[in-house]
Amino acid sequence: MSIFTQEFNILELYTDQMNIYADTGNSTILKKRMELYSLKANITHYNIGDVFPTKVDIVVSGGGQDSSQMEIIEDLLSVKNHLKLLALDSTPMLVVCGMYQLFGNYFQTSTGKKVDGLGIFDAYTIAQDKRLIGNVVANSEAFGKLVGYENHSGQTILGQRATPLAEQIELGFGNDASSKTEGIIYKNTIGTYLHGPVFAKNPKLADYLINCAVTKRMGYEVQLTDDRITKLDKIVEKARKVAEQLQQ
Amino acid sequence: MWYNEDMKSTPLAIPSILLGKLMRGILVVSSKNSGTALPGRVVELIDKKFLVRMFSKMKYGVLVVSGTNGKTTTTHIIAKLLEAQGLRVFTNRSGSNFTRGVISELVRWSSVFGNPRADIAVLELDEAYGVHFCKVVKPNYTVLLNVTRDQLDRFGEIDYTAKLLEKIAKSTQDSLILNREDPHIYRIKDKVKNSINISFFGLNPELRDTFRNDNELHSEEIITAYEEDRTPVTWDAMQSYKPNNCVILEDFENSSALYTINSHKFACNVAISGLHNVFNSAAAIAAVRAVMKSDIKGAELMSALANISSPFGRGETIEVNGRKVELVLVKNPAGFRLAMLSFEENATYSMVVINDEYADGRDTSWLWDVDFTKLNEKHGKSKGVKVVSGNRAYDMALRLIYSDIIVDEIEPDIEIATKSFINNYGGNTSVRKIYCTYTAMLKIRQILTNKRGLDI
Repeated sequence: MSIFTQEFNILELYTDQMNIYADTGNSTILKKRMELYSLKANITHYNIGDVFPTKVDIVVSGGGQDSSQMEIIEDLLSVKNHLKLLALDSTPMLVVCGMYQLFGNYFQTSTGKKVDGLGIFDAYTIAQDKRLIGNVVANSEAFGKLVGYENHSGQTILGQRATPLAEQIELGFGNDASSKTEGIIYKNTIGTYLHGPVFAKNPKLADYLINCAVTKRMGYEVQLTDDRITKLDKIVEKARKVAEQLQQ
Repeated sequence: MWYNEDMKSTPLAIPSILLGKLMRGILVVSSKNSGTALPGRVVELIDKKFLVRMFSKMKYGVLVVSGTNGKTTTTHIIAKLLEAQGLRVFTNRSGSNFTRGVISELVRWSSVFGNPRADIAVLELDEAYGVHFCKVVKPNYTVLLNVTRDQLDRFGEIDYTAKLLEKIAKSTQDSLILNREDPHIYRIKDKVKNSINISFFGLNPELRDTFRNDNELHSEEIITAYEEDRTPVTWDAMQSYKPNNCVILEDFENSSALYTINSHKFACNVAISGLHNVFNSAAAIAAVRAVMKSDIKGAELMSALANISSPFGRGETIEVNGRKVELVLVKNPAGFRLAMLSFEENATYSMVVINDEYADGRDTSWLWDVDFTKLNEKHGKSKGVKVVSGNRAYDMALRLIYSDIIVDEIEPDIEIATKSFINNYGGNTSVRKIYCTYTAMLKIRQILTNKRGLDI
């Protein structure tokens, strides 16, 4: 089947609860970029109680309030095997903030209660009194400079087998107050604290997920290009320049 | 009698008032900022009980207005309606949310003997600051408007913001005026002492889709909130809770509105621009009824409402070289959405200016939570987005472009952008709106009013 007639399914998890910082913008951006690359994209949703879909090319999910995390956790654990298999199978995924935390081994709340996570990431999160809030600039060996905004009370500690998304923090905190790392990458699953939404000023991450999805579905790698994307990314460059100059 | 009380219990009142007045005089003469904060700071340092004492001398005490959206305008409407009832109203007109701003104004409003020349104080309180303020000054009346996601860079989560408003409600002495349609606000009715009078303002069910609460903006579900024991608060339960003292917005068309007040219907043309203000007016009417103990005629309120114009920088129209520009303050998804719904029948040229100073909100992610379809040129009433500006102009442009909305110009410099918007797009009779964050609004206002009548 032709690459241009395939329909790629972007699955967004728990949109109602996990969208406190407008992270649904990430699926909007993915879909638009795919369309500009002449690929057919379709956004589908998984919410509490739904049947987990079988055809999934990309998974995205965002940040939520503590109460929202507690609202979805039971359901999330009930679809644990689906998500774990997708991750093991190198499905491209982006999980931001609250969902990043729940993709780890566990999350310890401010009251000291330990909530099981999915165990996809070798990491755990502990809620702290001081929220980490502000602009972030982080350097990633794989993706270059990443910019965004963080707002989280949970601090995430990576295990020894884990690879951070960005190894060095220039501004802000990232995973926690002391490690100077931001996010995590396991196979093709990316976890990050960056809002913005993160794809808006870091389209390299979006294109990475798109390329993974195409390679996985088609069985070959392809360099995607489009003149409109080139123009769009010139504005992105200007927005990034502003972001790099911001104070925390 | 007030004079005697002064003499007995508060010997410091006169000196601190005089000192404050002197400071204000010096500052007004010596600086251009009209000296709002400093005299307040001086009095605050010398006389900490100043606020409590001044407010306790006002016949009706203190009314506070808080919530995410509509504080400034609702405060303004309440003050004007009470003035129309013949009250002398003290209000924090300079838009300052802080104690010092209030004290500075109070100094100006006091006689040299330390007596306030006002019957009531009507104060706009920021959610976080309101908690501190209410520890010192227990308000007699509290109006709570709504809780929507806004300034999460300050508050972290909206559940936290709701808790702040609950604290303000708990410190209230006499009456609470609550939004029946916002579950976070509605459920505060059960959190206060039985002796507190509670009145509501609300909506006809058919208007609920227009004035959505935060949950309804972000969810398809009808269940909109949860009690602490996890039982859902449904909209049906909220609707069925109908005490007699409820003001309902029944219907509206442009600026004409129909209200039910104490089961009588009243129609009115609300002069203040902006669709959301027909609902804010319902809150104001309910508040004024609470203060005047319902001893007030609906028709009187309506005619007063028809004569109130917009407060500073809120839906203000400025004319430059025969061309009109309306400034629309936007700071969160719920507010931006309502502002765009206010489109009149005329074709509108739009400009959007986004800054990210503390007062604007440092995190601009929220722009992705707004549906901008109304600004699309393909939409019948829009002439499109001509210019985007502010230090986050490129972020805003990306937001629009990803939704297929064409942006003619991206110019971070607000002065250059504003001039271009007015001079290069549309004719003399065209409708122009500038959607702007707080510091952008101040800047644009300064540019436009300085150059009024000049060649810009």
